[in-house]
Amino acid sequence: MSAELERRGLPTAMISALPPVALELGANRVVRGVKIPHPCGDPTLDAATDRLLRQRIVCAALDGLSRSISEPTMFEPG
Amino acid sequence: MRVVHYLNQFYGRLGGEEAAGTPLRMMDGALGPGVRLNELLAASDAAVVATLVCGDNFPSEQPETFRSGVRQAFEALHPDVVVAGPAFNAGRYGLASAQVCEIARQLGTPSVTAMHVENPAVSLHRRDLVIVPTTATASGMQTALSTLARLAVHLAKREPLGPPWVDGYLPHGFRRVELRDAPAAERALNMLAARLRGESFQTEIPLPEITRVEPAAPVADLKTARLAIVSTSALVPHGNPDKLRQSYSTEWRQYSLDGLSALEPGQWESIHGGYDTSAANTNPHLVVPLDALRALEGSAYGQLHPAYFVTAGVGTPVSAAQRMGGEIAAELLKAGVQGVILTAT
Repeated sequence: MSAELERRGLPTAMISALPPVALELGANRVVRGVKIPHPCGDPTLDAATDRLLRQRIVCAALDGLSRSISEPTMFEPG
Repeated sequence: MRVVHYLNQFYGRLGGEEAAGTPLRMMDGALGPGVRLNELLAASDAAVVATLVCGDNFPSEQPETFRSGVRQAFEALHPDVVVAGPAFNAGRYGLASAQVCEIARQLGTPSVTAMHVENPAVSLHRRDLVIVPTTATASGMQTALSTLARLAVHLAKREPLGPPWVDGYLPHGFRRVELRDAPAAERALNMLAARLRGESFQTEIPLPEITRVEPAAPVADLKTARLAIVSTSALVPHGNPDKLRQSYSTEWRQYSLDGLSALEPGQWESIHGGYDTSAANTNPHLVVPLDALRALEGSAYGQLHPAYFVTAGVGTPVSAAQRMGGEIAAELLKAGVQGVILTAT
Protein backbone atom coordinates (compact mmCIF):
# COMPACT_ATOMS: atom_id res chain seq x y z
CA MET A 1 0.00 0.00 0.00
CA SER A 2 2.80 2.40 0.85
CA ALA A 3 4.35 1.78 -2.57
CA GLU A 4 1.08 2.70 -4.23
CA LEU A 5 0.68 5.87 -2.13
CA GLU A 6 4.21 6.91 -3.11
CA ARG A 7 3.54 6.11 -6.73
CA ARG A 8 0.69 8.63 -6.61
CA GLY A 9 3.06 11.26 -5.25
CA LEU A 10 2.33 11.00 -1.51
CA PRO A 11 5.51 10.50 0.49
CA THR A 12 4.68 7.77 2.97
CA ALA A 13 6.56 6.90 6.13
CA MET A 14 5.77 3.35 7.14
CA ILE A 15 6.19 2.39 10.78
CA SER A 16 6.96 -1.29 10.75
CA ALA A 17 8.40 -3.74 13.24
CA LEU A 18 9.91 -5.68 10.32
CA PRO A 19 11.82 -3.00 8.40
CA PRO A 20 13.84 -5.41 6.24
CA VAL A 21 10.61 -6.98 5.02
CA ALA A 22 9.00 -3.61 4.37
CA LEU A 23 12.06 -2.37 2.47
CA GLU A 24 12.31 -5.57 0.46
CA LEU A 25 8.67 -5.41 -0.55
CA GLY A 26 8.71 -1.91 -1.98
CA ALA A 27 8.22 0.58 0.88
CA ASN A 28 10.52 3.54 0.40
CA ARG A 29 10.48 5.29 3.79
CA VAL A 30 10.46 2.86 6.68
CA VAL A 31 10.63 3.68 10.38
CA ARG A 32 11.62 0.92 12.75
CA GLY A 33 8.63 0.09 14.94
CA VAL A 34 8.87 -1.61 18.30
CA LYS A 35 7.06 -4.92 17.86
CA ILE A 36 4.40 -6.28 15.55
CA PRO A 37 1.50 -6.01 18.03
CA HIS A 38 2.59 -2.52 19.10
CA PRO A 39 4.76 -0.82 16.49
CA CYS A 40 4.24 2.68 17.90
CA GLY A 41 5.21 2.10 21.50
CA ASP A 42 5.98 -0.31 24.30
CA PRO A 43 3.27 -1.36 26.77
CA THR A 44 5.89 -2.71 29.17
CA LEU A 45 7.10 0.84 29.82
CA ASP A 46 5.35 3.26 32.11
CA ALA A 47 2.91 5.60 30.34
CA ALA A 48 5.19 8.63 30.22
CA THR A 49 8.20 6.75 28.86
CA ASP A 50 6.01 5.00 26.33
CA ARG A 51 4.64 8.35 25.14
CA LEU A 52 8.19 9.68 24.72
CA LEU A 53 9.12 6.60 22.71
CA ARG A 54 6.07 7.15 20.55
CA GLN A 55 7.05 10.75 19.91
CA ARG A 56 10.51 9.66 18.82
CA ILE A 57 9.01 7.12 16.43
CA VAL A 58 6.61 9.68 14.98
CA CYS A 59 9.43 12.23 14.67
CA ALA A 60 11.46 9.70 12.72
CA ALA A 61 8.45 9.30 10.43
CA LEU A 62 8.19 13.07 9.98
CA ASP A 63 11.90 13.17 9.26
CA GLY A 64 11.46 10.51 6.63
CA LEU A 65 8.62 12.43 5.03
CA SER A 66 10.68 15.58 4.70
CA ARG A 67 13.78 13.97 3.24
CA SER A 68 14.55 13.49 -0.39
CA ILE A 69 15.65 9.88 -0.90
CA SER A 70 16.70 7.92 -3.94
CA GLU A 71 16.14 4.40 -2.68
CA PRO A 72 14.31 2.54 0.09
CA THR A 73 15.59 4.04 3.32
CA MET A 74 15.19 3.14 6.96
CA PHE A 75 14.75 5.83 9.58
CA GLU A 76 15.65 4.96 13.16
CA PRO A 77 13.76 6.69 15.95
CA GLY A 78 16.27 9.00 17.68
CA MET B 1 5.04 -41.25 -35.36
CA ARG B 2 3.08 -38.68 -37.32
CA VAL B 3 3.59 -35.02 -36.52
CA VAL B 4 1.57 -32.14 -37.94
CA HIS B 5 3.19 -28.71 -37.74
CA TYR B 6 1.43 -25.33 -37.73
CA LEU B 7 3.14 -22.20 -39.06
CA ASN B 8 2.04 -18.68 -39.88
CA GLN B 9 2.41 -17.14 -43.32
CA PHE B 10 5.86 -15.72 -42.62
CA TYR B 11 7.49 -18.96 -41.44
CA GLY B 12 5.47 -20.83 -44.03
CA ARG B 13 7.29 -18.81 -46.70
CA LEU B 14 4.18 -17.13 -48.09
CA GLY B 15 5.20 -13.58 -47.36
CA GLY B 16 5.11 -11.00 -44.65
CA GLU B 17 2.35 -8.79 -43.34
CA GLU B 18 0.87 -8.43 -46.83
CA ALA B 19 0.07 -12.15 -46.72
CA ALA B 20 -1.51 -12.04 -43.25
CA GLY B 21 -4.95 -12.72 -44.66
CA THR B 22 -3.95 -16.01 -46.29
CA PRO B 23 -6.54 -18.68 -45.55
CA LEU B 24 -5.54 -21.93 -43.89
CA ARG B 25 -3.82 -24.35 -46.25
CA MET B 26 -2.25 -27.75 -45.86
CA MET B 27 1.15 -28.61 -47.35
CA ASP B 28 2.84 -31.99 -47.56
CA GLY B 29 5.80 -32.61 -45.33
CA ALA B 30 7.84 -29.97 -43.52
CA LEU B 31 8.70 -26.43 -44.48
CA GLY B 32 10.50 -23.43 -43.04
CA PRO B 33 11.60 -24.19 -39.46
CA GLY B 34 9.72 -27.47 -39.79
CA VAL B 35 12.57 -28.85 -41.85
CA ARG B 36 14.93 -28.63 -38.89
CA LEU B 37 12.17 -29.89 -36.59
CA ASN B 38 11.79 -32.90 -38.88
CA GLU B 39 15.52 -33.65 -38.66
CA LEU B 40 15.37 -33.56 -34.87
CA LEU B 41 12.32 -35.84 -34.84
CA ALA B 42 13.90 -38.42 -37.16
CA ALA B 43 16.07 -39.80 -34.36
CA SER B 44 12.90 -40.88 -32.56
CA ASP B 45 11.17 -42.34 -35.57
CA ALA B 46 8.85 -39.38 -35.95
CA ALA B 47 8.28 -37.15 -38.96
CA VAL B 48 6.41 -34.02 -39.96
CA VAL B 49 3.87 -35.52 -42.35
CA ALA B 50 2.12 -32.23 -43.13
CA THR B 51 2.28 -28.52 -42.32
CA LEU B 52 -0.72 -26.26 -41.81
CA VAL B 53 0.05 -22.70 -42.85
CA CYS B 54 -2.22 -19.77 -42.17
CA GLY B 55 -2.04 -15.99 -42.35
CA ASP B 56 -1.88 -14.22 -39.00
CA ASN B 57 -5.17 -12.41 -39.48
CA PHE B 58 -7.24 -15.28 -40.80
CA PRO B 59 -7.98 -17.02 -37.46
CA SER B 60 -9.51 -13.84 -36.01
CA GLU B 61 -11.18 -12.67 -39.21
CA GLN B 62 -12.74 -16.03 -39.99
CA PRO B 63 -12.71 -17.99 -36.77
CA GLU B 64 -15.29 -20.61 -37.72
CA THR B 65 -13.66 -21.38 -41.05
CA PHE B 66 -10.26 -21.53 -39.37
CA ARG B 67 -11.38 -23.84 -36.58
CA SER B 68 -13.29 -26.24 -38.78
CA GLY B 69 -10.42 -26.24 -41.28
CA VAL B 70 -7.92 -27.20 -38.58
CA ARG B 71 -10.26 -29.84 -37.17
CA GLN B 72 -10.84 -31.40 -40.60
CA ALA B 73 -7.10 -31.43 -41.30
CA PHE B 74 -6.42 -33.26 -38.03
CA GLU B 75 -9.20 -35.74 -38.73
CA ALA B 76 -7.78 -36.46 -42.17
CA LEU B 77 -4.14 -36.62 -41.08
CA HIS B 78 -4.59 -38.36 -37.68
CA PRO B 79 -1.35 -37.03 -36.18
CA ASP B 80 0.17 -38.54 -33.06
CA VAL B 81 1.11 -35.06 -31.92
CA VAL B 82 0.64 -31.50 -33.12
CA VAL B 83 3.40 -28.88 -32.92
CA ALA B 84 2.54 -25.20 -33.35
CA GLY B 85 5.09 -22.39 -33.76
CA PRO B 86 7.48 -21.33 -32.29
CA ALA B 87 5.64 -18.02 -32.26
CA PHE B 88 8.14 -16.07 -30.10
CA ASN B 89 6.56 -12.72 -29.28
CA ALA B 90 4.20 -12.59 -32.24
CA GLY B 91 0.80 -12.14 -30.59
CA ARG B 92 -1.53 -13.19 -33.44
CA TYR B 93 0.67 -16.17 -34.24
CA GLY B 94 0.80 -17.19 -30.58
CA LEU B 95 -2.96 -16.98 -30.22
CA ALA B 96 -3.48 -18.98 -33.42
CA SER B 97 -0.95 -21.59 -32.29
CA ALA B 98 -2.73 -21.92 -28.98
CA GLN B 99 -6.06 -22.34 -30.76
CA VAL B 100 -4.57 -25.06 -32.95
CA CYS B 101 -3.36 -26.89 -29.82
CA GLU B 102 -6.78 -26.48 -28.20
CA ILE B 103 -8.47 -28.07 -31.20
CA ALA B 104 -6.00 -30.95 -31.09
CA ARG B 105 -6.75 -31.34 -27.39
CA GLN B 106 -10.48 -31.49 -28.06
CA LEU B 107 -9.83 -34.32 -30.52
CA GLY B 108 -7.76 -36.17 -27.96
CA THR B 109 -4.46 -35.49 -29.73
CA PRO B 110 -1.47 -34.32 -27.70
CA SER B 111 0.04 -30.99 -28.71
CA VAL B 112 2.81 -28.60 -27.83
CA THR B 113 3.57 -25.02 -28.77
CA ALA B 114 6.36 -22.54 -28.06
CA MET B 115 6.38 -18.79 -27.53
CA HIS B 116 7.80 -16.03 -25.39
CA VAL B 117 6.39 -15.86 -21.88
CA GLU B 118 4.95 -12.41 -22.54
CA ASN B 119 3.03 -13.50 -25.62
CA PRO B 120 -0.64 -12.70 -24.83
CA ALA B 121 -1.55 -16.30 -25.62
CA VAL B 122 0.41 -17.44 -22.56
CA SER B 123 -1.77 -15.73 -19.97
CA LEU B 124 -4.85 -17.13 -21.66
CA HIS B 125 -3.67 -20.69 -22.16
CA ARG B 126 -0.83 -21.48 -19.81
CA ARG B 127 -2.88 -23.71 -17.56
CA ASP B 128 -4.27 -25.85 -20.35
CA LEU B 129 -1.52 -26.22 -22.91
CA VAL B 130 2.08 -27.37 -22.95
CA ILE B 131 3.92 -24.17 -23.84
CA VAL B 132 7.69 -24.06 -24.24
CA PRO B 133 9.09 -20.64 -23.26
CA THR B 134 11.28 -19.06 -25.93
CA THR B 135 13.26 -15.91 -26.55
CA ALA B 136 11.25 -12.90 -27.66
CA THR B 137 12.78 -12.97 -31.13
CA ALA B 138 13.64 -15.83 -33.45
CA SER B 139 17.20 -15.75 -32.12
CA GLY B 140 16.20 -18.71 -29.95
CA MET B 141 14.82 -20.76 -32.83
CA GLN B 142 17.25 -23.68 -32.55
CA THR B 143 16.74 -24.12 -28.81
CA ALA B 144 12.99 -23.87 -29.22
CA LEU B 145 12.95 -26.48 -31.97
CA SER B 146 15.06 -28.90 -29.89
CA THR B 147 12.73 -28.62 -26.93
CA LEU B 148 9.65 -28.87 -29.15
CA ALA B 149 11.01 -32.02 -30.80
CA ARG B 150 11.85 -33.64 -27.47
CA LEU B 151 8.47 -32.87 -25.91
CA ALA B 152 6.60 -33.79 -29.10
CA VAL B 153 8.09 -37.28 -28.97
CA HIS B 154 7.18 -37.73 -25.27
CA LEU B 155 3.66 -36.50 -25.92
CA ALA B 156 3.22 -38.64 -29.04
CA LYS B 157 4.18 -41.70 -27.01
CA ARG B 158 1.64 -40.60 -24.38
CA GLU B 159 4.37 -40.48 -21.76
CA PRO B 160 3.61 -38.24 -18.78
CA LEU B 161 5.76 -35.11 -18.75
CA GLY B 162 8.19 -34.47 -15.93
CA PRO B 163 8.01 -31.31 -13.84
CA PRO B 164 8.25 -28.03 -15.81
CA TRP B 165 11.76 -27.19 -14.64
CA VAL B 166 13.01 -30.55 -15.85
CA ASP B 167 11.17 -30.85 -19.15
CA GLY B 168 11.33 -27.19 -20.13
CA TYR B 169 7.76 -25.97 -20.40
CA LEU B 170 5.77 -23.27 -18.57
CA PRO B 171 4.31 -24.44 -15.24
CA HIS B 172 0.60 -25.13 -15.27
CA GLY B 173 0.22 -24.04 -11.68
CA PHE B 174 -0.66 -27.48 -10.39
CA ARG B 175 0.82 -28.86 -7.23
CA ARG B 176 1.56 -32.53 -7.06
CA VAL B 177 2.64 -34.32 -3.94
CA GLU B 178 5.88 -36.12 -4.55
CA LEU B 179 8.57 -37.79 -2.51
CA ARG B 180 11.92 -36.01 -2.45
CA ASP B 181 15.23 -37.71 -1.94
CA ALA B 182 16.15 -35.76 1.19
CA PRO B 183 14.12 -34.26 4.05
CA ALA B 184 13.21 -30.59 3.88
CA ALA B 185 15.66 -29.57 6.61
CA GLU B 186 18.53 -31.07 4.66
CA ARG B 187 17.41 -29.45 1.40
CA ALA B 188 17.04 -26.08 3.12
CA LEU B 189 20.49 -26.28 4.69
CA ASN B 190 22.04 -27.28 1.38
CA MET B 191 20.45 -24.23 -0.23
CA LEU B 192 21.68 -22.02 2.57
CA ALA B 193 25.20 -23.43 2.32
CA ALA B 194 25.19 -22.84 -1.43
CA ARG B 195 23.99 -19.29 -0.91
CA LEU B 196 26.65 -18.56 1.68
CA ARG B 197 29.32 -19.93 -0.64
CA GLY B 198 28.01 -17.67 -3.39
CA GLU B 199 26.95 -20.65 -5.47
CA SER B 200 23.71 -20.86 -7.40
CA PHE B 201 20.80 -22.87 -6.06
CA GLN B 202 17.25 -23.59 -7.04
CA THR B 203 14.64 -22.17 -4.73
CA GLU B 204 11.62 -24.34 -4.03
CA ILE B 205 9.41 -21.34 -3.44
CA PRO B 206 9.89 -18.60 -6.03
CA LEU B 207 8.94 -15.25 -4.55
CA PRO B 208 6.66 -12.90 -6.48
CA GLU B 209 8.24 -10.10 -8.47
CA ILE B 210 8.29 -6.87 -6.51
CA THR B 211 8.23 -3.73 -8.58
CA ARG B 212 10.07 -0.87 -6.97
CA VAL B 213 8.46 2.54 -6.97
CA GLU B 214 10.56 5.69 -7.29
CA PRO B 215 10.39 7.49 -3.94
CA ALA B 216 7.94 10.38 -4.05
CA ALA B 217 9.33 13.87 -3.56
CA PRO B 218 9.46 14.75 0.13
CA VAL B 219 6.86 16.94 1.78
CA ALA B 220 7.74 20.43 0.60
CA ASP B 221 7.23 22.28 3.86
CA LEU B 222 6.65 20.04 6.85
CA LYS B 223 5.73 22.95 9.13
CA THR B 224 2.63 23.72 7.09
CA ALA B 225 1.96 20.26 5.72
CA ARG B 226 -1.30 18.37 6.01
CA LEU B 227 -0.58 14.76 6.91
CA ALA B 228 -2.83 11.72 7.21
CA ILE B 229 -2.71 8.45 9.13
CA VAL B 230 -3.28 5.18 7.32
CA SER B 231 -3.08 1.89 9.15
CA THR B 232 -3.17 -1.79 8.35
CA SER B 233 -3.69 -2.55 12.03
CA ALA B 234 -7.47 -2.87 11.64
CA LEU B 235 -8.08 -0.45 14.49
CA VAL B 236 -11.77 0.43 14.13
CA PRO B 237 -14.47 1.90 16.35
CA HIS B 238 -15.53 -0.55 18.99
CA GLY B 239 -18.02 -3.06 17.64
CA ASN B 240 -16.61 -2.80 14.10
CA PRO B 241 -19.76 -1.04 12.88
CA ASP B 242 -18.81 -1.26 9.21
CA LYS B 243 -17.78 -4.89 9.44
CA LEU B 244 -14.19 -4.62 8.25
CA ARG B 245 -12.99 -8.15 7.55
CA GLN B 246 -10.41 -9.45 9.98
CA SER B 247 -8.31 -11.13 7.29
CA TYR B 248 -8.03 -11.39 3.52
CA SER B 249 -9.29 -7.86 3.63
CA THR B 250 -9.87 -6.24 0.28
CA GLU B 251 -11.67 -3.15 1.57
CA TRP B 252 -10.72 -0.14 3.63
CA ARG B 253 -12.70 2.14 5.87
CA GLN B 254 -12.28 5.69 7.05
CA TYR B 255 -13.12 7.14 10.42
CA SER B 256 -13.14 10.66 11.75
CA LEU B 257 -10.49 11.88 14.13
CA ASP B 258 -12.03 15.36 14.11
CA GLY B 259 -11.88 16.86 17.57
CA LEU B 260 -10.18 13.80 19.05
CA SER B 261 -6.91 14.36 20.83
CA ALA B 262 -6.66 10.78 21.95
CA LEU B 263 -8.06 7.34 21.21
CA GLU B 264 -9.88 6.07 24.29
CA PRO B 265 -9.52 2.36 24.97
CA GLY B 266 -12.94 0.81 24.89
CA GLN B 267 -14.01 3.11 22.07
CA TRP B 268 -11.66 1.48 19.59
CA GLU B 269 -10.60 -2.07 18.99
CA SER B 270 -8.38 -3.92 16.59
CA ILE B 271 -10.17 -6.67 14.75
CA HIS B 272 -7.02 -7.88 13.00
CA GLY B 273 -6.84 -11.65 12.70
CA GLY B 274 -3.06 -11.82 12.42
CA TYR B 275 -1.53 -10.39 15.57
CA ASP B 276 -2.19 -10.32 19.28
CA THR B 277 -4.47 -7.30 19.59
CA SER B 278 -4.56 -7.10 23.38
CA ALA B 279 -1.90 -4.35 23.56
CA ALA B 280 -3.65 -2.29 20.88
CA ASN B 281 -7.03 -2.72 22.55
CA THR B 282 -5.64 -1.54 25.89
CA ASN B 283 -3.87 1.41 24.30
CA PRO B 284 -4.87 2.13 20.69
CA HIS B 285 -2.00 4.61 20.35
CA LEU B 286 0.35 1.66 20.13
CA VAL B 287 -0.91 1.10 16.58
CA VAL B 288 -2.34 4.51 15.69
CA PRO B 289 -0.16 7.19 17.35
CA LEU B 290 -2.80 9.92 17.55
CA ASP B 291 -1.55 11.28 20.87
CA ALA B 292 1.95 11.88 19.54
CA LEU B 293 0.65 13.34 16.28
CA ARG B 294 -1.61 15.77 18.14
CA ALA B 295 1.27 16.80 20.39
CA LEU B 296 3.38 17.65 17.35
CA GLU B 297 0.58 19.22 15.32
CA GLY B 298 1.12 22.90 14.63
CA SER B 299 4.78 22.72 15.55
CA ALA B 300 6.65 19.87 13.91
CA TYR B 301 4.11 19.72 11.10
CA GLY B 302 1.01 21.62 9.94
CA GLN B 303 -2.24 19.73 10.45
CA LEU B 304 -3.50 16.21 10.83
CA HIS B 305 -6.10 15.26 8.26
CA PRO B 306 -9.33 14.49 10.14
CA ALA B 307 -9.98 11.22 8.32
CA TYR B 308 -8.11 8.09 9.33
CA PHE B 309 -7.94 5.19 6.82
CA VAL B 310 -7.75 1.60 7.92
CA THR B 311 -7.69 -1.95 6.65
CA ALA B 312 -6.64 -5.32 8.07
CA GLY B 313 -3.27 -6.22 6.64
CA VAL B 314 -3.29 -9.99 6.87
CA GLY B 315 -3.51 -12.32 3.91
CA THR B 316 -4.18 -9.29 1.75
CA PRO B 317 -3.53 -10.08 -1.88
CA VAL B 318 -0.91 -7.73 -3.33
CA SER B 319 -3.30 -6.66 -6.07
CA ALA B 320 -5.89 -5.70 -3.45
CA ALA B 321 -3.30 -3.77 -1.45
CA GLN B 322 -2.32 -1.89 -4.59
CA ARG B 323 -5.91 -1.08 -5.40
CA MET B 324 -6.63 0.06 -1.85
CA GLY B 325 -3.47 2.17 -1.84
CA GLY B 326 -4.61 3.80 -5.06
CA GLU B 327 -8.14 4.46 -3.80
CA ILE B 328 -6.90 5.94 -0.53
CA ALA B 329 -4.34 8.01 -2.41
CA ALA B 330 -7.12 9.48 -4.54
CA GLU B 331 -9.07 10.47 -1.41
CA LEU B 332 -6.01 11.97 0.24
CA LEU B 333 -4.93 13.93 -2.83
CA LYS B 334 -8.45 15.31 -3.22
CA ALA B 335 -8.27 16.53 0.36
CA GLY B 336 -4.93 18.24 -0.10
CA VAL B 337 -2.99 15.79 2.07
CA GLN B 338 0.74 16.00 1.39
CA GLY B 339 2.21 13.07 3.29
CA VAL B 340 1.18 9.86 4.97
CA ILE B 341 2.17 8.05 8.12
CA LEU B 342 1.34 4.40 7.67
CA THR B 343 1.41 2.04 10.63
CA ALA B 344 1.78 -1.64 9.91
CA THR B 345 1.35 -4.61 12.21
